[in-house]
Amino acid sequence: MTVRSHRIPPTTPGAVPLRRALRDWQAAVVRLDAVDPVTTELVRLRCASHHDCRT
Amino acid sequence: MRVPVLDEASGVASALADNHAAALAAVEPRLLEIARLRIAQLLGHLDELSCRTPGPAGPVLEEDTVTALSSWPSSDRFDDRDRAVLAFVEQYVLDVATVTDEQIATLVEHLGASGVSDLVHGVLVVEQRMRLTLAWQRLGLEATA
Repeated sequence: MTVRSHRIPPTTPGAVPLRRALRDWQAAVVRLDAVDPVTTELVRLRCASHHDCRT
Repeated sequence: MRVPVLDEASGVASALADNHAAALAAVEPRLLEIARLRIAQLLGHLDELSCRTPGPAGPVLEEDTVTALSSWPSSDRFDDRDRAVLAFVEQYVLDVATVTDEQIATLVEHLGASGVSDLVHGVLVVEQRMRLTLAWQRLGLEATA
């Protein structure tokens, strides 16, 4: 996997309501339990790898 | 058919709707509209293609601009800023991992870092929402988001 450098500073301010809404949506998705935890984690890590997301 | 995981109790459906509304509020309407319609063209999302985001005095985009959208690299209805956004959007939809440093640098020149941050968040929301509704439609599920 190629790890890229930051293209904009991580501390760049953005629209707070949008970031909050995105966070709330992701939290709601994580709370779903219809898919088993191992499959969920595999998908999450695969997506994180492809998106170079280190959080 | 209902989508059980999106029952209101899960909070996902309402969170997705809130997310979409926040994206519409945070990103300049013209830019998000050309992004939304180009994504719809690339994904073949007919419902999204058939609707227009309203502005204060009619649709955000003139219909001639919508018609020219697929020829944005050469059409004079799009300026350099539009083209920077559309180049990014196309690469994002085709393979997000291949968005280049140069594409982001060009966006920063036009929008500033905060503008790019909001645009990327907005495009993410619009694109994921479209992919979700397409997947639900293919599965014969009710697309409610």
